[in-house]
Amino acid sequence: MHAFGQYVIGGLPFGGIYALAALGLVLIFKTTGVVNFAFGAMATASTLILWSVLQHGGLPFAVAWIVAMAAAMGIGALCEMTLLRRVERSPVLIQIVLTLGLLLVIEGVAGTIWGYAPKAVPRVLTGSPLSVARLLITPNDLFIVGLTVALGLALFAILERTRAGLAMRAIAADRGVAKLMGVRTRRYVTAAWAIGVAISGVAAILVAPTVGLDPSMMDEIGVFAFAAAILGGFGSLAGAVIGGFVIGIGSNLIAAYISTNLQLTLIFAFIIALLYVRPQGLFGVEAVSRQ
Amino acid sequence: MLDLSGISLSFGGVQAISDLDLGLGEGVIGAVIGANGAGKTSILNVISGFYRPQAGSAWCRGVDLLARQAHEIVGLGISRSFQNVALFNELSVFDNLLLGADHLRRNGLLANMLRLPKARRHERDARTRAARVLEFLGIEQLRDRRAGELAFGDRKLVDMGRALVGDPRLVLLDEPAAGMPEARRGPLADLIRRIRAEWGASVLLIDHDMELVLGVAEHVVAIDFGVKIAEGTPAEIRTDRRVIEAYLGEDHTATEPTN
Amino acid sequence: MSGIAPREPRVKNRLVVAHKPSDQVVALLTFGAVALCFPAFFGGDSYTMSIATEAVIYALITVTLNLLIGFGGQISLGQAGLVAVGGYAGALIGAHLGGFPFPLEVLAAGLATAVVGFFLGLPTGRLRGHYLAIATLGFGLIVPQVATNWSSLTGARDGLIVNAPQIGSITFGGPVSLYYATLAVAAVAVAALLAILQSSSGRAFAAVRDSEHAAAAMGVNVWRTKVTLFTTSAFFAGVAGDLFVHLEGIVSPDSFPFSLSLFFLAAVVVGGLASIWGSIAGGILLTIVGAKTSGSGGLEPVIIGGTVVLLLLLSPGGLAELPRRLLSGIRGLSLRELSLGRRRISFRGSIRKVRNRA
Repeated sequence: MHAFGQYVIGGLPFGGIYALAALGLVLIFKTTGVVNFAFGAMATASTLILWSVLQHGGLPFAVAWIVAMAAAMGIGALCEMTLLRRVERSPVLIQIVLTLGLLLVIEGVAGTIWGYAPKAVPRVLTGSPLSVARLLITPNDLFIVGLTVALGLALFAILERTRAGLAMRAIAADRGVAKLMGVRTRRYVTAAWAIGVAISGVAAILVAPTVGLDPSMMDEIGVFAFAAAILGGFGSLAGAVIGGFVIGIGSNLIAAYISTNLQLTLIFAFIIALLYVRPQGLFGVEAVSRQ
Repeated sequence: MLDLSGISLSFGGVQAISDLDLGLGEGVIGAVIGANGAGKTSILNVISGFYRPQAGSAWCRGVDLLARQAHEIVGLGISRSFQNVALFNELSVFDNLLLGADHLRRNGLLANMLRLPKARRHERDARTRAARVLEFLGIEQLRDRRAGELAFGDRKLVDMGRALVGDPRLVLLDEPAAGMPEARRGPLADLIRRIRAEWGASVLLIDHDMELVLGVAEHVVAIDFGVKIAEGTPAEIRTDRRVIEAYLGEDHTATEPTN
Repeated sequence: MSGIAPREPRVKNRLVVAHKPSDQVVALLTFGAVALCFPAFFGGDSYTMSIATEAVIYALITVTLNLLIGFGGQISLGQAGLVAVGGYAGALIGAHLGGFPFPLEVLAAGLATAVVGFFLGLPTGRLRGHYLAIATLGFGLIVPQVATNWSSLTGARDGLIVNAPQIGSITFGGPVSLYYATLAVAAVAVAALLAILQSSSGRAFAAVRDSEHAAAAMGVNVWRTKVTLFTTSAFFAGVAGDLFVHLEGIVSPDSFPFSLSLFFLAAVVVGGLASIWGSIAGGILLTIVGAKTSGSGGLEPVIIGGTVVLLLLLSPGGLAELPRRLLSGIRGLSLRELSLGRRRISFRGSIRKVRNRA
């Protein structure tokens, strides 16, 4: 029982990371209807920039982080303005293939610039594990979980309580109507991309110390993030966070009790089964189509 | 041949149809009229199997429609057109029509892949039927055009054509006059009569264009907010007090295209 | 011809090309002729022949994916997973039933994959858009994982050795004979697919793609059609998988990474949806691009990705639509009009039209 609890705790940090990555995905999807398959590569690119800043300046971690965030936002905004804007009203397939193409390009360019050898990125918090109710958790892991929840709440607060958030929700609901109501859809869409990529960038920075930083770092994590977003229903921020933690904890339990090799298989099998029964995911809204 | 009784349908808190009785005889041109949102299309959707009513029964020539799934309805001889002209836009007009006959086939995918005789037979049969409908509608020149590229009026014709290819016993026409200018109404009424003559099928059309309906239908049901308010011949409907009240006098103005 | 009725907006983004069958046949015969004569010029160079064989296989896989995506309107990011099943099935047959005739082995591999495709199609037949994309993505990742773990069957990471295909005493071992054996199977497969697409089954796929409601009203069982679609696509993908492992000589979980699924997706889009010859062209093109860039250490995905992005922005209908676009270009479309999805009000003389750009 104690071991079980420990495994649950052990799944929290990755759960948080999946949740953050999924949050970024869902934010972009909610506002623009586009699934950003390239988010992992964008996030990794910003982390590589963070690493470069740390290498060449001895600047404090916080500064590097800020630069990385700015880079992430820049990448997101740039991609939105030059490429994604053109496919907003295109069929889903074109959007998917476009972002996948972008994934290849960004990863390839990153590989060319930084090379494929894994690099080291420091943790945010160092320190030995703390004991909480006889279960061990490192300060860094606590920080990850805390940051995830905090960002999730902050995003929620922004969307629900601010005018900007209202604008974004209006755009998500019906862009045409939002435009007619005078909402400056262009800038909010760009902002959604910028923030979404930045949040995914946070996930990448947090996971890099554990898995090693290289251009394809977020490939497998990205898959779990998609799983989390789908589990949550792809339209719900809360769903993304909950989905992330469910998958993080779930996959740790699978690794512990069954096999690390079957994590992906069992999680996706579970999700496909869930979608069969509930095509809209846990928290998604069922689409009603009028004849 | 069509017998709806006590149909009640609601979704999302909206009562679309309330306790509706509707009957149609063999070879009769019937119509349902009502304002937009009165529940007309919902009636067709119940017959087509897209909506399940909460109450009531629906029978067609001795077959219980409500016990069937949507894709089984056409096999019973009931075909339809769509208000929003749901054509298969990427296919040619001819292919659209061929699909109307495909429900008659007796072969599956394997027979198709191996080009077995029964598959070839179906293709020949379907092509003959489709060609006949093209000729009937006078649109042979559109045969190989991509359906999505046609003018609106032609799209409506193809949509109706699809409903005719499979030798239907009952043709449901969903707002056939929607989006058509006044000049087209006469030809449309003629077309409906010709359909009945050529195929011997019953026709049930729904529309909010009074002039068209009262000019072509033999049996009319008027509904308002999902409730039947009058039933009878066009002459009777035209002078029915409730109908006149519901529409604030007869509607002579050109119809608006509906979405 | 009414001038008053509002003109229905054209279908936005001519995504599906759907050439007439007669156009397809001409193009396909041309490909066939070139493919037949190819070894006459390059037969001596075994590297070129193996690339050519790979091109044939990849073209076939692209066609199977286009069946699903272009003709059927579905999405799959996991086609490599189906190819893997076919590959492993063929390898296992070869390993346990030495001397099994090649055509039967191909058929068996296809059938095994069809069964998997059927079970994949059951839940995915209910899904759409991004959900479908991610579910199939998951499938494509699961197959190599299962292959890695089921070591008793699949030899895990080491994989299985695959011998040359044979019929009776004839072994297709050399590069040219393997090429012809592969080409023969691929040609039969494409012919079968053409037959399906030109029949009521093909129409049903397209009907489900274009309008599920109208399809149901025409008697098409939508879900069953989708499942049939997945099963059929899987069958032919499995056939291609068997061809693939004979070319490679070995099958292992690493042979089917996600990037391979992406590759085929790119080839489908590049070639043009719902166009068989477009898919063949796309598959061949990307194989050549891949072969030319494989040594460049990391640039291959960039080039493929970049090609896809550029092509999508300029011509959403892919290569197959290019001739039409070029012809329209001659008729005076401006370069601005070639970008995607924007409404534009254009003034042509005194006639004002609202047009969606193709």
